[in-house]
Amino acid sequence: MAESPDVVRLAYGELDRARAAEVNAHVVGCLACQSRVAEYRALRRDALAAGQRPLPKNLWPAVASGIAQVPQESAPPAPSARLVPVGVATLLAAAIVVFVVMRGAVPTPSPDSTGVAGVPSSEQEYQALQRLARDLAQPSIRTLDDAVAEAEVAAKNSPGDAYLQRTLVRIRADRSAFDEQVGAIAAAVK
Amino acid sequence: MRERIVAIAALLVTSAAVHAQAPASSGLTRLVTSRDTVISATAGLELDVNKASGRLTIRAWDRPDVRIRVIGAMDDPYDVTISAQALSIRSRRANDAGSEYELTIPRDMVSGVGTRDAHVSIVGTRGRMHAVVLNGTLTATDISGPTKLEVLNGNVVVRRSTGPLMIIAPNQHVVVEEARGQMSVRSINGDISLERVVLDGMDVQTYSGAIRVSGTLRGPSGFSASSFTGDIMLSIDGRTGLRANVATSRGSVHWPTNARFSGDAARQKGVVIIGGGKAKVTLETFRGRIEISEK
Repeated sequence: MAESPDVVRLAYGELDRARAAEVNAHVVGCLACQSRVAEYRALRRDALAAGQRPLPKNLWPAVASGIAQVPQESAPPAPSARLVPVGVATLLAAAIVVFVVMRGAVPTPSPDSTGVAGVPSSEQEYQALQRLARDLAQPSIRTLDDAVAEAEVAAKNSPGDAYLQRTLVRIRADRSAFDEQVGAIAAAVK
Repeated sequence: MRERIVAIAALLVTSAAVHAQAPASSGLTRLVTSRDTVISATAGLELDVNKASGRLTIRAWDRPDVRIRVIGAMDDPYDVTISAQALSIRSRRANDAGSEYELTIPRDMVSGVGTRDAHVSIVGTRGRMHAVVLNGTLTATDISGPTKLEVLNGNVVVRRSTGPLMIIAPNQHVVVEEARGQMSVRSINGDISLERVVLDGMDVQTYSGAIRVSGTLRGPSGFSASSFTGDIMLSIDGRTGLRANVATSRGSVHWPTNARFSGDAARQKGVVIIGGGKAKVTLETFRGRIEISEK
């Protein structure tokens, strides 16, 4: 059995673009390596959450057991110098996990990193969705702002009109809640 | 294409058991590249689907399985994660516009859908459904469970719905046909059209759009429709009696000849009563026209 440490680095988004594309080209066609990448990512997610809760007792044995079942032919076409026994890869992964858990954080990619094969990081994706949602919401925001302005003038000119006063309160409340609603929609999409 | 069944359910369920004490977000993730996959779904498992773009179709069947078909020219690998509570399907690609996911799920499965740009179609579901689309259209047909549909920028079309239905579509239009039960619709710039509906309760609101409701209002629950600049047209079944509180500031109010109106001299605020006045209705538009008619 053999496995390239680049599979681990791919899963963690730590390869440069060229190498990521090279390794990813293999992973896309290799079910075993896809599983490894998925497992490493799941491992990383659990490690990320380790600061908030205890790590599940059976997590590492389950993952290690899965790694042990990687068939020989599943190794990616990495340069021979990069091929290492699965034990080394396992130790590498374990070392990363221990490092992560001990520090309570994960290695942070460089700010311009887009992870694997152009896939943005979770935080980048979240921020992009929030920006997109705010942009998309602009027509509705303008309508609400216009409605608030018009209702304020009308209510000021007719202070005894209960309908106008009630309408103004409702429109202001809708406008006030809309930004949060847009943010919630974007968050739900993610 | 020959159907390919991948039996990964046992592995996934085992994983869920291993991580039973972990939060729902944890679980074993598998990357799936097959274009046709079937996963066993244990009772109570909730579905969570995320696809960035392209098309997403969700159908229901009477089997305890989730089938995932990837249709289109491009390969579109996705992650499947399962925990004790949820089956999560997430597209791997940031741009997957060239593909369609066609999911067939147990009819009563509780489902959550999230997409950025995808066009979503939901057919025949009976379980609780919450679908969120940032920029795309959403259609739902023959749905009967409690359903919440949110589309920030796109139209929503619902045909034949019987469960409680909530729709939020700020920028675009909402069309609902042949729906029954309780309904809540919110827009800002879109028109709202409810056609051939039989409603037990209604709360409909837009700002620059028009509202058209045609059907039967029954039961003592409240029925309200409000716009700011748009017209409101309520066309009720001849057997439906209603008592409508109407109000407009710059618009006008119109009612059928057999109705009674009591209100201000300008005929802009008051009460319109038809028949026994059983359904309690509120219609308000700041600048639009309110028109009540019988058919």
